[in-house]
Amino acid sequence: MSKELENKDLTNDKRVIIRTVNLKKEYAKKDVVTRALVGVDVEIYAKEFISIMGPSGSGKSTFFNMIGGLDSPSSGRVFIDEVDVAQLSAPELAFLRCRKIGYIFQSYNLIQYQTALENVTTPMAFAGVPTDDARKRGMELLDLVGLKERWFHRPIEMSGGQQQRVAIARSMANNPQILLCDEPTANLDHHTGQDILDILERVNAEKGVTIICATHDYRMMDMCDRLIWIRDGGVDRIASRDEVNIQLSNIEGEDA
Amino acid sequence: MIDLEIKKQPRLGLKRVIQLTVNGIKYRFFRSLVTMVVITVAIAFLMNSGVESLIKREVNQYSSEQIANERLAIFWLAKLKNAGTVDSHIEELSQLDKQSDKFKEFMAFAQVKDTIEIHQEIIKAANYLNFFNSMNYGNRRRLVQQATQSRIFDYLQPPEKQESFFATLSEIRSVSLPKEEEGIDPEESFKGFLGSWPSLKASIQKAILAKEQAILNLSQQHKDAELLELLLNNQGFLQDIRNAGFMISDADYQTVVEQSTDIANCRILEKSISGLKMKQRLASQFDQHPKDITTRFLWDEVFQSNDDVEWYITVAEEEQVLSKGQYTAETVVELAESKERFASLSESLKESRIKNSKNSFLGLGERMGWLLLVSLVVCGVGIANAMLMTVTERFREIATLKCLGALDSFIMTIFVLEAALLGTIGGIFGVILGLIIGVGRMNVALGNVVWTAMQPKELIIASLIAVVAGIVLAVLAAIYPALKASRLAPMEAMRIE
Ligand SMILES: Nc1ncnc2c1ncn2[C@@H]1O[C@H](COP(=O)(O)OP(=O)(O)O)[C@@H](O)[C@H]1O
Ligand SMILES: [Mg+2]
Repeated sequence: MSKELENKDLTNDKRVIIRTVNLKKEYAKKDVVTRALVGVDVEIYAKEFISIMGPSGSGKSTFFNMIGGLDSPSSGRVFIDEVDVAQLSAPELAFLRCRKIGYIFQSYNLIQYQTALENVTTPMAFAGVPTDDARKRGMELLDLVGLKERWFHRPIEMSGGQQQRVAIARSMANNPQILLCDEPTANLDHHTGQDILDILERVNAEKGVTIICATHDYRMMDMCDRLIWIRDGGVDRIASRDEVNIQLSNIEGEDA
Repeated sequence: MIDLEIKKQPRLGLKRVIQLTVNGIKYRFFRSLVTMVVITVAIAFLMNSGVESLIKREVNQYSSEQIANERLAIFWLAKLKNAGTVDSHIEELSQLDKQSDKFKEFMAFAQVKDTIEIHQEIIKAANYLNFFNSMNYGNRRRLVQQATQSRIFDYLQPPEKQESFFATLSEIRSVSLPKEEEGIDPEESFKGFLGSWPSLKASIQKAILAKEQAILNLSQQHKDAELLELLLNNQGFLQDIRNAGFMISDADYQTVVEQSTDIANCRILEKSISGLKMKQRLASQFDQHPKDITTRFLWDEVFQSNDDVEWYITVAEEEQVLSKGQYTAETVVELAESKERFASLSESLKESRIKNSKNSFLGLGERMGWLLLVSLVVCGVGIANAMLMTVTERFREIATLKCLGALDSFIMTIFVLEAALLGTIGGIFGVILGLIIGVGRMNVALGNVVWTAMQPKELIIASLIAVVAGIVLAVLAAIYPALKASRLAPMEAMRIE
């Protein structure tokens, strides 16, 4: 597909979109200090599809929150397109969250009292998009995730998979350059999870959105460009898909 | 084409904010309803206390004015018989304006010129008397022994008595002299007053003596005729009264004469059952024991309906205790009605009396002021609690909204708006509820006079204040948690649960 090639031309334009420098995060609760991140240095390129893997409690969500500007690090820096997130004022942070980054959570986090369409149009309202345009674009996005017919449903009237699809549509509302996903398929069954992964892959391929996905789901290995393993709050290993596939086939070969 | 230029987020339009807020309230309808009910109850309580105090005060004022009016004849009958005492003069004169006829009359009898000074002195005397009267018996005993009323001032004339008085006063912590003038030590002003007391007392006594003389002259002039007779039948009596030095306006005299007629009529009617014959006939007609036929029975039972009164008049004329055609049933029933109205006014006055209504919060009485304050605090705490719950249970939603690009000010706005909305609705319902309960309760306690005495303007102002109080309390209670929630980073907010 020519269009896909044009959008995902990683070799020519290896532009760093997210960079972390010695990123550390400690949670202090009374006397107990949990070191959730112990100094992470990574570079993520524009239009990449990154999987972050690691056992539960290894610090994936913490990392996710740091690079998404949702929480502040104990020390170290996060640069998004070479802008130091720590230097941004509250309204600038809001602007960043609104238009530059889309978030997808394990537990969907939809606004319970809004319909699917209202959920999708809320970020557009924050961005100042006129209501009619927002509705039109909201319907397009719902169509993209296959929920056009259910635009008037509220979250409680939808299944987990459907809610997550609404969340994806919402995260795409203001054409973000980065999509952050924190275990998007963890609460879903195998089949529904596959639907979500397919949508993410399509978004990455067709729109050239950088996707960073913390996950346990091994199917993710097949579609990502690079894998980052995190263990005990630090980067264990970074590998490209090709390397991983070779390894996998090796293991399979040995098993056979 | 990557573009990550970061700008400031625009503000959301008010319409959109309101829409989002109302949606939120609708969705959490039950929760919002509970919050609203809390506000309603709190404001109803506040409103109720306020309304009851206001109505009591109005009824008190209204009925005391009315009663004073209805008793004008009795007042003048007493005045033309009795010159009064020093204490009664102080009490009466201190309530008067210095331009009023009654005060001028006093000045003339006392033959004093400086109106302003004597008026001030009398008011001081009344305040000090009030101070001694509101003191408990033990303290008063310690301070002035057995002396009461203006004799206290006499008792305190010798310097050594004053010395021990002030020494004892400084020992009693719960009692302190009223402050008469700004910047002047209360002790000094009381000493000053005691110094001028003998001359004030002399003036009042002079007025009393002059009045006694005037009364004596009047009665000699009319050969000891009964006052009531004179008021009713002697055309020249008004002039005689004025000549004697009393001041009465034409209108007041007119009222006095009218009321005297009623008084005379009542006396005649009451006298008509003094004979045994009448009592027996009444007893058999109304199935009562003759011993129970009293004047009270006459007014309360017989003079209530036209039929009964007509029967009574016929019988009385037969028995020749009333002359023929002297009374119609209507006049008698009217008399009974006005007597009843007077009784109910007195009852209202008694019920609506508020202790210490002078110099306390809004003139509502100390206890009522306290109650209002306490209800305001209860109200505030209740609303604060409800709003705190509403905000804390929405931390997750706040975090999500912030992830979607909501400004801190937007988060603040929706909570303040929600609080204001709930405060307004709850406030309005609370005011209506408090008004209904307050007016209803007062109607039961004080009677129908409530409807005439009530001043809609005051109640409307009170209602507005109560609604505004509801809004302000709700908003104040929401500001702190909302501010806290909006300042947090999204993930910190999500963690609090
Ligand atoms: N709010 C918190 N307070 C204290 N410790 C926390 C908090 N959030 C996460 N942690 C700890 O930080 C470590 C990393 O957690 P997390 O990033 O959620 O891991 P993952 O997403 O990979 O499961 C864990 O040990 C976890 O217990
Ligand atoms: Mg996690």
